Amino acid sequence: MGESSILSAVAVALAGAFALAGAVVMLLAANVAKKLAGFGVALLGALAALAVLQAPGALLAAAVAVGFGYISLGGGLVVRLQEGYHSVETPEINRADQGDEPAERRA
Amino acid sequence: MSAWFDLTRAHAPALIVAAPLIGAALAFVSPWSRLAWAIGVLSCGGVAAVAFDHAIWGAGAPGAELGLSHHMILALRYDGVSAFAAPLITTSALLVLLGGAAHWRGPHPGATPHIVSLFLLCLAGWLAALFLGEMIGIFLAIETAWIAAIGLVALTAQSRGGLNGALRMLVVGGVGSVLFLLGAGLIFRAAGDGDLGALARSEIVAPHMATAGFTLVVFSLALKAGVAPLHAWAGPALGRASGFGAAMIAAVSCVGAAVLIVRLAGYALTTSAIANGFSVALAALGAASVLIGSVQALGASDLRRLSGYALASLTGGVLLSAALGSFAGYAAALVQVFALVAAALGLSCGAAAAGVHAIAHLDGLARRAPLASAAITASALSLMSAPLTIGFLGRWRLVEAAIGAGWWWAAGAMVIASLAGVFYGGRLVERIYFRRAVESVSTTPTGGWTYASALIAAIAATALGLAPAPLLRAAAAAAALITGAAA
Repeated sequence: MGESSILSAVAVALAGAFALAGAVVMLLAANVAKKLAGFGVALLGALAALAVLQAPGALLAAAVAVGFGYISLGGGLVVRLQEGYHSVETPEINRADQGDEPAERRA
Repeated sequence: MSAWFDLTRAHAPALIVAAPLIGAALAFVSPWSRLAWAIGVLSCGGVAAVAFDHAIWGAGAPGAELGLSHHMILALRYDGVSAFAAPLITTSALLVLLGGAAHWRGPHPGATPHIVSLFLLCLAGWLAALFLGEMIGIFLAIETAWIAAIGLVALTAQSRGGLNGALRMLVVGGVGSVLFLLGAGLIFRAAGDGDLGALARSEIVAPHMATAGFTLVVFSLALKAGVAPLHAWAGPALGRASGFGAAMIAAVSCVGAAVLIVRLAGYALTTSAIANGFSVALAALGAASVLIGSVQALGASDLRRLSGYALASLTGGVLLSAALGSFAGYAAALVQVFALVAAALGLSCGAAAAGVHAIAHLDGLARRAPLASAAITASALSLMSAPLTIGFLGRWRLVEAAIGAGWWWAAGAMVIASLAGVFYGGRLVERIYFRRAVESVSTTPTGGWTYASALIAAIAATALGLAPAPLLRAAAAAAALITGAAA
């Protein structure tokens, strides 16, 4: 009993770390497609954690459905960003926006 | 006729959730833009009427599980927060939608049915999250609302910058959804149940796990509410979205997320096993948001970014109040939610109506757009905590509740926020009324009358500080339900 609880705790920790790693990629990656990939990794990690935690199947199904929604929407945004900015690299997108709008400055 | 009223009252929460969904479907298939907009307005108006009726007369005892068994994902649960916030959010959505008509004569008039549909879907999501009693259902509702909001911002973008704003919202939403899932999984494991009402009765085998779970869920919502320091997306997204998109984010989405945090706090803080740890986490987040949002607002040069930072500060006050976990704390939180909605409407709709982006373009706005100027001024006064405004009342109630609980540091944080508000709010008022417009400034006022209702409502709501008795009674009644429902 003790060994199995330790193993499940380790499994949850690993899955959680995987999910957080994916979230970090999503936040820090420069390429929008890589951000979406990071989200996919994070979602897989979350699903693994939910499975180890013996969460209800309905929660896993909801996670998959929401993940599908985000990825679909993200795919559409990638296309629109490419059309609008001719790039899907966030530094170039932000630089292009700064040309239209001055950056924040101290009052 | 009375039978129909009784039927409506008996099923009010289900109607409040279902009506926007039905409206969204009808608007989506509508062949004409004006018809879609009319469907949206009727849906929002009808839902607001039902929500007000439900809040005043109520249906069932607080904490009642309505309709379905509480083990079902879609079981609805009536509590003080849902009763107070549903009329507020639906009215705010109605006012934003009325104003939004001005934007749709633009480059994509054919997109209006989709825009209205996404707007109603976003509203339905937040309303469902307010009434659903089970974590899985709440998760689905929140993410539906957020995804709809992202689509709305992308679709209504009048420049490519709006797409960048939508991208930032997508990233935040994705991270938030993962955090929510992890938190929900921990709660299920620790409490054995995802039903909010069952938490107080459940045997929580792992209190730390449950506390961590609730904290992750609140962090997920805090991301969406634009709470500092998790609000890096809010300034750019609000600054680059269209006027309508920014108003929807500020006055509907962010408010919905903030209210949901208060709702979850109401359940978590009455569960003795997790109350202490959760209160500390919520208070820390609230204090950080108050201070960081206030400091960032001081240096903002874009009006919508400033409103994002100022609203982050206000939302921090809401979290601080909820973290107290007392009757006075919840009442203060709900009064501040009202002030949050009034400020969000005034700033975002005022900026949209006047066609103003940069703060420098506010110079001489009083002559060009007097109503928008009055709304922005009213919101600025509320952010300053000027006496007799609703912002002052909300912060005063928090200070009272905090001192009563021995949280002197929270009272100090609100004083600092008010002082900062004097600077950045005063800057807005000074430019509007005491400077002349520079000739080279060109602003494009948007549809003179369409935002009038939102602006008048924002001014009236701010001025409610003059006669706050009905609002205070409503907040007290809701707080009594929150603290009494789990007993």
